[in-house]
Amino acid sequence: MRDKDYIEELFSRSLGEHQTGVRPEIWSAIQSKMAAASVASTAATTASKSLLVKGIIGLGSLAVIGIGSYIYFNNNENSISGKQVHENEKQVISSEDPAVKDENTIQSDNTSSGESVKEDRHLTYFPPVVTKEFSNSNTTAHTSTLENKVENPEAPVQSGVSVSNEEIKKELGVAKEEIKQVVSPGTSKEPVNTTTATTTGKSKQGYVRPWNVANVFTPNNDGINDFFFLETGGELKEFSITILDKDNKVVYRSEDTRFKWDGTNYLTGEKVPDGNYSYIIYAVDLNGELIKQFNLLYITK
Amino acid sequence: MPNLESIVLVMDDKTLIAGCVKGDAKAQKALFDKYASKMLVVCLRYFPNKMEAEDILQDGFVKIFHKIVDFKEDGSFEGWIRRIFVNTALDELRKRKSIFEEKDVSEFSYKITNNQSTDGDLRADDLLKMVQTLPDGYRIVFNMFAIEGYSHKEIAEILNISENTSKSQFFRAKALLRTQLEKIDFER
Repeated sequence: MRDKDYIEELFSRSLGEHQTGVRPEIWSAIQSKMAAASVASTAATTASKSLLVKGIIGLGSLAVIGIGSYIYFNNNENSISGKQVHENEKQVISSEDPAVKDENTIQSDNTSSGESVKEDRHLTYFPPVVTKEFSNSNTTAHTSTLENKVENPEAPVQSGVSVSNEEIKKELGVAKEEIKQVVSPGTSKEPVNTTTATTTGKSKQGYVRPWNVANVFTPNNDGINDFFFLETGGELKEFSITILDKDNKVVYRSEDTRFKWDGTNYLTGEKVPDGNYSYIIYAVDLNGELIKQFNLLYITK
Repeated sequence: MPNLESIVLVMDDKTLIAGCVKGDAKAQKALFDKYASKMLVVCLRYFPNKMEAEDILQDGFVKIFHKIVDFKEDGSFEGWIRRIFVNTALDELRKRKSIFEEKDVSEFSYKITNNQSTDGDLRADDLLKMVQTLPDGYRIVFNMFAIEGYSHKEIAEILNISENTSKSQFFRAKALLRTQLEKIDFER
């Protein structure tokens, strides 16, 4: 009996008051959630005098407000992206950058315990930890093939993804700023799990298509490709991106779809060294479907 | 090293609450600064994955700022806050299935490599890691019973399990923790 009390006592005494560092980003995230919700609850006050009900409606409306603002921002970005696509294509035509014109083929095979990574160029890194991240929610073993082609510089960049047979097929038809996502019926049990990448080359600002993220960027303040960011095509309930270095250490994290990474380590504030990185996007769409995406990122200054 | 947490602006709870009820952003930030680091530990006890724990932390604070008007001043404010975080964590856990499936005990693999038991904080960190590496069911029941102080009856109701399951999960959790503690000889 004494022993029982000792263990309970030890843990409750030590952990009850224990503290750990909280990243400042958490506060910004709470603030943005609050900002959206306060609009909702102001509206709710007129409808109901009950404070409790007000709270509930406020929270319930949070998602709706969130959607509203996403749509707004997407519209904004889309108008810009149209221009950027053009610039992009021109850049591709004129570009002699070997990173741009060739094919990067990365194959990952999760069916066997080992992973085979086949590629040309500099994308030599495939972190095992990421694979684990992806398989943690009842995903069956799968094979994904990823191909990035910039075949014809005049045509829009296409990226095709095939996730094996029974898995969800997610087709990305990239026509300028428009993207369609088709989830084939009958497979809704599986989480959406796709990987896409497009080599955008030397665009003005590391332009990124919906779910197509640049995999090379050059944070050297020359006005070309200095930031890494994403443009979402659909509205999302939740979003986070984590960028890892080759030792799987986190160098950047954001929960804002409008994040802009300048290549500095978010903990130390120092520019990260050139080399291979990877990122994980973890998002929930409006249907509550989990979208997990991982890709490689090459940094060169 | 100075502990930055201890230099946080001290504003008494009454002022904080009054400010938060009015929706004052400064008061909200002060409340966050005062309690976030402690509440993150609460979240981490239920969700060892830091990303998930941080999500719970955010949702908990949003709830607090909304519900603060309902706070009755006769109870402990910190206790009220803590309950909101625990409930937020439990709500999330209830959405998930298979928490109480039998787990192989060999999953419990945390080893304390460098035993820096002289530093109080590190020691608490070690204890936290031990709790975090417990299998899900053990961990949740242990947290609720030993740290939050729920009874087995309450735990059974909240988690929709039997009282006996709650008890057995708790005793197994404690047995695992005891083994770990003996290994590292905490009281040396």
